[in-house]
Amino acid sequence: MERIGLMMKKTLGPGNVSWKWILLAAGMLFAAFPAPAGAGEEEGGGGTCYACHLENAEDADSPASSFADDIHYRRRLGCSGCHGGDSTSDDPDEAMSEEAGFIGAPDREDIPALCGKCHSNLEYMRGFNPSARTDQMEEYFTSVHGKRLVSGDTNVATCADCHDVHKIRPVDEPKSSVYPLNIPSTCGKCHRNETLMSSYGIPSDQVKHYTQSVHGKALLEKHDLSAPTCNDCHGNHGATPPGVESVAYVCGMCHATENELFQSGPKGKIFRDRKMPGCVSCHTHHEISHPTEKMISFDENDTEGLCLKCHSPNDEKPRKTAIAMRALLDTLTATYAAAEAKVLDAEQRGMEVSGAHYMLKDATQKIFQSRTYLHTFNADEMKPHALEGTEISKKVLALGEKAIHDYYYRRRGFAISTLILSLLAVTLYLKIRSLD
Amino acid sequence: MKEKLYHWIDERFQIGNLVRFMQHKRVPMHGKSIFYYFGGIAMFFFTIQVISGILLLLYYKPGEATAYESVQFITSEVEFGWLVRSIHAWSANLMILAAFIHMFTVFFERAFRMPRELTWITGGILLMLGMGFGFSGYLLPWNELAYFATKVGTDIMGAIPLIGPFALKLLRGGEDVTGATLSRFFAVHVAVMPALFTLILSIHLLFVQRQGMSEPDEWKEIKEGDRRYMPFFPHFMLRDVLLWTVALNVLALLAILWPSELGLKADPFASAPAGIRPEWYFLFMFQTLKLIPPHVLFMEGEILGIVGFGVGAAAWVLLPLWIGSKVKSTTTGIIGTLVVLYIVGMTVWGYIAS
Repeated sequence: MERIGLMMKKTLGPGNVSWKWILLAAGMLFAAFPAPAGAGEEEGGGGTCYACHLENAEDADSPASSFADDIHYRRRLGCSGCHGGDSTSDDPDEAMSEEAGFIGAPDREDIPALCGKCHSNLEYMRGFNPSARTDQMEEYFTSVHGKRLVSGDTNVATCADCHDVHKIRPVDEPKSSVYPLNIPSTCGKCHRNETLMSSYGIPSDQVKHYTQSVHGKALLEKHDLSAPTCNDCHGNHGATPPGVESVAYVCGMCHATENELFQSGPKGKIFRDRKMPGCVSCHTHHEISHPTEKMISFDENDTEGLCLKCHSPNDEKPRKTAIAMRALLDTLTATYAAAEAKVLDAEQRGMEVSGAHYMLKDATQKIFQSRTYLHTFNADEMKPHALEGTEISKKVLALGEKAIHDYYYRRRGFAISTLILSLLAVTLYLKIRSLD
Repeated sequence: MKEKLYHWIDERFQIGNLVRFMQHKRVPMHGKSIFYYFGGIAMFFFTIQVISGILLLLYYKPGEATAYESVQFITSEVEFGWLVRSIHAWSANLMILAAFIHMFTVFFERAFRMPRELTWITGGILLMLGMGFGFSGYLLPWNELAYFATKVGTDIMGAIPLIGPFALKLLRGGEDVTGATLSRFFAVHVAVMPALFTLILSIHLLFVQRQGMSEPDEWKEIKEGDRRYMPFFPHFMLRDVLLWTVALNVLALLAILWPSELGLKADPFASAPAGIRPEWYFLFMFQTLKLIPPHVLFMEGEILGIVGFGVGAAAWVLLPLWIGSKVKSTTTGIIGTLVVLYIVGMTVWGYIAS
């Protein structure tokens, strides 16, 4: 069937719009096959192909050498499933004959349909995983990669470029090329390639920027698997850059409250009406750094301020709002920092301040809430949260100060008690001397 | 007025005999007289333990959900609660230290021999009870360190041959260290042990008072007229009080400058924090058990160690019954020095290793 698809493609030529549908239809036909060739026919998933190719392998990276790590091999799915041929025959000529359906290394443009032969077959995939998804190939053809492949561009990524060829591992295995921690380097194989990317007129610094971003650091340095990686924003099989209007929804998948407040506030409407990208206007996209209060500033000399990127310094109402919100946040964070420092100081002196620590957590929560409500761009809505956080911080500060006061009070008390006890000891000593 | 009161009491309780006994009681005076005071210092710390323990009881609430919180409340909210808790913890350590010094000076002076065999044995029991006090009290704040130290400590007891599994269940109130363990440790710490300790301490004191202080061997060669004594009351008593004042000052210094920490609440599902080790007075045993190889001849190393300590402790407490009154001072000197070196060496090693 692949051959038919290939022949049709060669006949019709690249760039024909109907190609996508032909490839998709071919994939669907493959998907309808009751049991793909090679499936479960060989012990350990290799048969004579594997034995022979392993014996003649030139190095550890040769297909047969690396196939033992492949999930297909582990599921007893052998070479003939993808390459055709007869893996039960000891005779190489017979095993790799056209009569036996041998196709050799598939062409790049045939790979999605080849993989889809099994992976789009729900009935077949259920045998391995009852909740397996089977829409990857369909999704792939909606992606930029898939569309370009259909148009005849074989430089774009296909299944094997991301999932590997003969060393395919499930996504939840840390060694897998598509395990979250490995996604940036997997995407970077192409997207960091300046020559390749420049031919498409797109930058090649996204991975570098992502690595330096708050998300990249969380994932790659702290190994926080909840941090987004490339495919969380761009999709995986359906990889496409989010359009201007959908950026906020992409970010909102995780930052739901911020997105909701932003969309329902005055800024959301303006951005939507003008078809401006929401979140990335202030936070950028790949290079998202840890947001700080300094981003809210109408001061032209403030290099970290962002408001003037869109506003004029004379925009009176936004300026007042920005100044009010910044003042609320500055007061809150400064009071919090002072309280935290005082509590730590008291703790280092050996004072019991667990209650203050507990309250600090409440104050931290209020800082998060205030920063979240910043996205309303309405100082009145943010104010109650910021004021509450400031009040809690003040109470913590007072507790810290009391602990420090108690620390010195104890020392003074000790000095007095020592003096009294020493006087008593001297008196006793004198009394003993007088008795002796 | 004073005389009237004295007669009023004497008519009812005949305290005259006691006063005359006190007036005539004498304490030998020689170069090592300072060691006579350590028993009194240990008793002084025990008294502080009783008082501070009762004060802690006013606020402490045993139970998995309340123990840690109540200690936290005592430490942070109750007026001078931090001081009482800190004094209780430091005083416990100082009491054990004073008892150890008292025991070894008695040993080196060979004062355990006839007629003081039972005084020595009751003293040995008191030291063990004191260590039991420490072990049971350590768990009561229900913090992370206490939880895992108790787990390790009871695990060791569980390895005792024959009775180990039963002892483990009895101590823990089940298979694991849980709220049930906390409840029984609390009951033992505040009811069983104080009662036992007070009873045996009274017997120990009665023996001491009845037999008087032991005189050094060298005195046998000194004429009776050349021997120096001081009256127990008020001379010795005042010296006791003077040393108690100094001890109280040391206790205040430790309790104020290094108050007891509480740490994190015990979490049975958390992994054990690094550097878990028992209180210093158990450390020499803990370190020894760590050093014994897994198998020694036909026995498991841990079992060998536990059996060894059991036999050693029994032999030490029952020392006067088997060593004989004619034991030479060189023999006791060598034994005592080896035991002290072993305990101090292993304790220091234990601290360095952890």
